[in-house]
Amino acid sequence: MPIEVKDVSYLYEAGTPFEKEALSHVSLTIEQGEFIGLIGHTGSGKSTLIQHLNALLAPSSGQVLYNGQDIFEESAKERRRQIRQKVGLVFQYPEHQLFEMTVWKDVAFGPTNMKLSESEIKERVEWAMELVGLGPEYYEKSPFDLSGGQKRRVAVAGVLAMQPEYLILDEPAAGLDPRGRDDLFDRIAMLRDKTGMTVVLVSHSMEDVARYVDRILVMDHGHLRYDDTPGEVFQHKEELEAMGLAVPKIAELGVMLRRKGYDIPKDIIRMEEMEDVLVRLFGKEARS
Amino acid sequence: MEFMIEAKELTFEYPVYDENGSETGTVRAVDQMNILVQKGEFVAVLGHNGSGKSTFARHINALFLPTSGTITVDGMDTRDDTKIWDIRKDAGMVFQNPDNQIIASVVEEDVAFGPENLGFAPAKIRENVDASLKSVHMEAYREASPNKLSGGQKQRVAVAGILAMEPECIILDEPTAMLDPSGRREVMETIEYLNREKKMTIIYITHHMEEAARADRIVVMDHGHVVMSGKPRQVFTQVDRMKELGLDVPQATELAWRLRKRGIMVPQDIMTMEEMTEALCRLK
Repeated sequence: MPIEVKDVSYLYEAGTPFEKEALSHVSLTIEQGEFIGLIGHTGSGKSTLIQHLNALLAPSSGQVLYNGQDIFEESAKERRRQIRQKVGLVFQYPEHQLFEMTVWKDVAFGPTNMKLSESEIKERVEWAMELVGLGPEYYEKSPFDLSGGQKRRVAVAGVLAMQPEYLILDEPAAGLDPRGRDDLFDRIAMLRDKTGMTVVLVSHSMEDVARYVDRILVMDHGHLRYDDTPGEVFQHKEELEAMGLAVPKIAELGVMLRRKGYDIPKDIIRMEEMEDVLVRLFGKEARS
Repeated sequence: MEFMIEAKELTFEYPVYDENGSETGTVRAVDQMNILVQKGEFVAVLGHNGSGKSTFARHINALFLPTSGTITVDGMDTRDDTKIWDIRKDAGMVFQNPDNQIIASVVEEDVAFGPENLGFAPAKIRENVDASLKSVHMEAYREASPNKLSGGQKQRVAVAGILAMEPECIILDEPTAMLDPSGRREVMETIEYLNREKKMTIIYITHHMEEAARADRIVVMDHGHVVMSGKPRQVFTQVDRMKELGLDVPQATELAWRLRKRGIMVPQDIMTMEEMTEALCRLK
């Protein structure tokens, strides 16, 4: 089911001297199964935008449609309740929200609130834990005895257990070490392949975004500036830098090599792709 | 040779409790760690989560005291009660989340908090606050409200608050983890300026390998002690070892490592894309 954001604007503290337009006429459609990266400087409107996607914030003007139906209509209270289950939001540092005595109880919290049967809850918790790569030996542990990376996976499992159609992750790798980051992202990519879940990844790491997503949304001062493939978006080096962003290091190399006259396609932004291009250009066969 | 920080067999243990509150054992977060940091050195500390980096960092300004072994800061033993305020004045810490470190509602009042508590004379406080804000290029925001600032600006205000106490050493624990690319750039440039121009000793904990590459020296921690130490080039050349330790290398170093495996013999000690460009151009 697609989510459509139609000409949405959002004002904080509307009608006061502190009024600030956090979103300005944003329109976009998210289709089922997409893997989307959302980037933008601090205060660009990323968080405000994702809070509209699961009905935590209502637009000041414009509409948010789920499967063609406006979720903010007066009479659509039930629809909003449903959409909060369909759109799972993993906040920054989600491990700060763990609170139960055991990992099992924490992951079961969402499904329990959904008033599912015991057997359904059990099934979902096991499924979610498996997806984040934590086996039964973790079920009875206290979440507070786990490492930072494991805690975060428990928090993600808690959202997955509600079996959302959409998974929105706000800076899921902040503070994780490189291995923890890779493990988490590989898990998310795998989960998306397995379940067809739509994933929206909010990140300040251009490398992570370039590596995993198929489509990038760029927010800047409340405006949606770009909505395109990573290969296209990361060709706008100067524009992105002016917005407080950057391009992946690999894209920087492409720019420098092109200046030296080498034929590097502009949409090469990933490590593996660059490696292959360079082998073609500089490998033994190319030189002999 | 005068050392800013000297840790000898530094060990830190904390107890673990079960649900009923009885002690079930101890965790050794830092384990017989030895390290010497020279005055004016810029040291990046790397290590996976749980390797003991932050626990070590909290010993430098006596937030934690050693279970055994010793750590001295500018010659002062952190276990000496009479020195604790001198140590905290000398070694200031900046943490990951800027919002947890700013307490006042006006930027310059926040920066003045440290020197006020140290009992500096009012004229001296004024002078230090102005100079510190200037050092981090935030003088234009003197009277601004911190909650209107970007993440990078907030971290620079946090750094200014430390500077105003006239420290010898600044310890930064993942100060860029929550920042956008421009915020990261601002904080890195500020740190390099303080090191190069103001000769401050910097201890910089990070998971960003590109940032670590800019330090004088990288120290890698694992299981509570130092397992590698050397110039960034020497450390990052050991790509396999770094990966084993759950870490990374800069993107350019990784690409060099991959290319070499495929027969393109660029130097393994490349750390930036500029160097990669030059190396590739030399091949042709």
